[in-house]
Amino acid sequence: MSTSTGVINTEKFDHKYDDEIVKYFLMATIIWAGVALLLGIYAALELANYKFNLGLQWLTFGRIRPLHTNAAIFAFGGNGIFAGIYHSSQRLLKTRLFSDKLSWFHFWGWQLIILAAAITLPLGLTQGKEYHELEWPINIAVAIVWIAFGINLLQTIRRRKEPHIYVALWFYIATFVTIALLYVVNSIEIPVSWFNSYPVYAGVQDALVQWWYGHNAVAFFLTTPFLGLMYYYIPKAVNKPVYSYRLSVVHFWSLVFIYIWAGPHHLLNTALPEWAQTLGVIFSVMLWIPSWGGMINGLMTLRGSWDKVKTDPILKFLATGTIFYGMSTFEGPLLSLKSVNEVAHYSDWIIAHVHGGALGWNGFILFGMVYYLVPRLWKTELYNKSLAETHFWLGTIGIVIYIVSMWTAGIAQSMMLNAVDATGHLVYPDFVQTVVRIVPLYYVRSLGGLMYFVGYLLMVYNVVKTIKGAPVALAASAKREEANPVLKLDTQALVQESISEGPHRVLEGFPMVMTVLAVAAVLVGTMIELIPMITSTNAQSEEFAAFKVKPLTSLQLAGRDIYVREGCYLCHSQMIRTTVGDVLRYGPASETADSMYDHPFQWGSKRTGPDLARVGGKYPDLWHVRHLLNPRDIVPQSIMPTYSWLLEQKLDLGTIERRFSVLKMLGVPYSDEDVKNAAENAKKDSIAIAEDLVKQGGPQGLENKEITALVAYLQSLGKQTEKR
Amino acid sequence: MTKEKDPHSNSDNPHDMGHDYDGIREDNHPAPTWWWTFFIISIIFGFFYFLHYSLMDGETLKHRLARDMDQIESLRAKDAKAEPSEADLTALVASPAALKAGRETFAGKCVSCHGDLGQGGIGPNLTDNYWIHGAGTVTDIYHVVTQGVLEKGMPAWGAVLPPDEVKRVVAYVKSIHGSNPPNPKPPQGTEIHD
Ligand code: HEC
Ligand code: HEC
Repeated sequence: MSTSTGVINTEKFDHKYDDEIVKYFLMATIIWAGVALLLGIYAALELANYKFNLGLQWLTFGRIRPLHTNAAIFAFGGNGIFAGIYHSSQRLLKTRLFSDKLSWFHFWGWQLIILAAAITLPLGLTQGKEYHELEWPINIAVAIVWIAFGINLLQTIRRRKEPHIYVALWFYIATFVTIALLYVVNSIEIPVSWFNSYPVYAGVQDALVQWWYGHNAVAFFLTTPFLGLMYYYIPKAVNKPVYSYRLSVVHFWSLVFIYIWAGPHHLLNTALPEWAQTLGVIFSVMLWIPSWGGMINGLMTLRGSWDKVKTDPILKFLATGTIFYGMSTFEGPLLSLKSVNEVAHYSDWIIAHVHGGALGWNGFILFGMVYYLVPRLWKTELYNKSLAETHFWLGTIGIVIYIVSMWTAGIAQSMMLNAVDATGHLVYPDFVQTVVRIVPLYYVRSLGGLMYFVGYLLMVYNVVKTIKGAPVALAASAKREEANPVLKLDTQALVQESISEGPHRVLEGFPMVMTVLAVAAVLVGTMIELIPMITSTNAQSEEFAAFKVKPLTSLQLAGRDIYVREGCYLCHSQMIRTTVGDVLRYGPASETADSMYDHPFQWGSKRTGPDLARVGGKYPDLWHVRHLLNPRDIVPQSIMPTYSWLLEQKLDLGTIERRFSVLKMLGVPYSDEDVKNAAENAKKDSIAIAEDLVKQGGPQGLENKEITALVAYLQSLGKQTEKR
Repeated sequence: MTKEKDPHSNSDNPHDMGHDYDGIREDNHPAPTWWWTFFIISIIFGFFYFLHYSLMDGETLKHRLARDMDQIESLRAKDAKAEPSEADLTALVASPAALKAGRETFAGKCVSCHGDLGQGGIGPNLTDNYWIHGAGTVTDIYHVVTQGVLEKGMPAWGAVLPPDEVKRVVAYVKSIHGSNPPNPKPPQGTEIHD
């Protein structure tokens, strides 16, 4: 690795930076990356063949997928951005991190949270909201650790020795404040036990809040911090000036302002009120160009240095990561058009889209960062450059295989699902007919993931060898002797000096003002979208006046909670869209009223299996029992897992009363009697179903077993709403 | 403390802002023209799109759906005049080609409930002399199969399968009557003798 002037510059200050914490976060990044990738490959194989779950409930797809996504986003991505933020901020601010204690609290707190996730998710303890699966005690822990991180960051900024803050830090600030806001608002839930809770929002509100959160977790956890890292590591690694200061100003503010509005594009053609859908479409389209502003600034910084990119694996990863960012942010707005979305939504196209972002953008930026940091932090050279080169190519080819296979699978399946013949009938009336066609692509996808993983293993080997070959550390980086003082600025002089470069330059001298402005920018879209939804769609509203909706019985509710526990919602939607394909296949389009008492909503985001919004009454009870016991007994080519344990496990009604009373408090029309008799009623209904099953020729002894609750729930779907 | 602009450090670079963060300098090239152009176009697009769909009379999704479904209905209506007569269906029972196609449909759509040989399972035995609906004539079978018995879990196949396929599977069901498969489900409905 050539020593650039940048590095020499840095080393002058090295002694007072806390690089120990950076090393720890970096190691955590590397370790969790492996876990996340392995879980991804495993989940992919489970879709190709359900038998990979070994018949163990803890390993079924519905429980592994949340573990995979949480590991990828929060464990791999999270530790990665913390490493990069702590490393780059100290150097950009020329000061040590504010508090060693906070840093270590942050580190261990975050690892414990990940550990808690790794234990609770396979046990089926989940809120059933994507990327927000963790249950309420863990939510609280996340919020506390996140705030610790934020205080550490902001206080470090206040102790800086640079009068202005660099663009990377703007992005870090936006990351901290917005994620805090998103997480807290989406975590407003009422506990029903130590490990379960119901969100206060229901149905369409819950859908909107969840995807406001989900979309902006992508924006402010997987985009803004990574742009910050890009703005630091690309110019450092290539030792060239950043292309355009004014572009960074414009694209930063437009990104922060516009991103927050785009959540409803996850709910296009659904029962979400159309004005909200329309806002989702237009803000997604407007997001394209600000996103590309970031890409342009990253890539143009490399202009004239492409020869270096050819020979330096660090730059290869960073540059290619940035190109993947450009691809994803072009694809995103495209997917947000209602007509394209009709094809893409619920299909594997979306899976291709997120992996272009996650593997290409997030993964590659972090790998580039690892190759940059390890030799510098351990004060040595990279063990083997060509190994890193091989990692790059394996990774790139792996991503291409992944994306192309899932594009093909998604588009092909949607085309088949929506195909109508000349007589006005579906060409493929059986959902499974479309599944068997794409199963081979599920294997191809796993292969792409495997290649990416092998590349990662090369990196691990390279890193271990590099560290082993490093000179013995003289002493751990000096401990803080005394806290750095808060920067004392002559504000007037600062303003006067900066104003010649425009008002934004002045703002860069006042990071706390910038923080407030960033909050304001994200609050605009948030309030305009969420407040009308939360205030207007209540039981009294016009929306619902036309319908009479029965809430679930206690047995059905117990079944709903099993449905959530097993992660059925990860393969099945409950939302018949306003499209011909959906209506022909599943029945009349879903109404907002259908889910008005659903805490949480069950609209889903991916149809690996058919929509279930109106499956109630479609089949006899016995059909469901046989199907859940072994789907292949009923549908020979099904890829749905078996759920045989539901026929054995006793239904737990210990908290049903509490569940009912929480829902009652949240506005579900249960009477005091209903609450009091919840457990009694559930038992009675369960026995009735079990007896009926025997009469139909089914197995004996299912009374008070979980299966009766799940079947009762499935039979309720689409049956609760009546037009007045 | 503030860093002075240093005109000498990068005198050959007219774009240099004079900023230096940990060795990172910032240029100030203008953003590409196409970038601004597309940004402005996307904002204008957004404005008019919102205007059209939310404030003016742009077609709503429900409206569009209703229009599309009308089209489907008219396709189906055109085809429905082909409501088969008893003779049509009986002719199919005599056609080996139709029965072969019907057997395939039966294997794909019906065996999960009626058993691989029609002996019954979740649904009733279709080979015996007992019928819940009608008297087992081709037209009776045709009506159950097209309209289903939704409250009992017999799907309405008329909405799912193309008309020709329905006719052929009906013919197939008729053809297996009296085939006496092993392990029949106990009789349901009333006994009919022809
Ligand atoms: C790995 C994805 C996957 C998971 C997880 C999954 N399913 Fe399925 N499901 C499918 C597929 C594929 C089909 C279509 C083939 C079939 O009928 O078996 C299906 C079909 C169904 C059907 C029949 C729908 C119809 O209209 O014919 C029901 C009901 C169902 N699943 C319920 C469930 C329940 C309840 C759970 C959770 C306990 C669940 N599924 C979990 C993939 C999945
Ligand atoms: C999901 C299970 C299921 C499937 C699949 C199914 N059926 Fe049925 N079928 C039933 C049930 C249950 C009944 C009895 C209805 C009743 O009790 O009124 C029935 C009744 C019938 C009857 C009337 C029998 C009588 O005694 O009157 C016919 C004929 C029939 N089915 C044909 C078919 C054909 C043909 C198919 C395939 C295209 C099919 N069924 C698929 C469940 C099913």
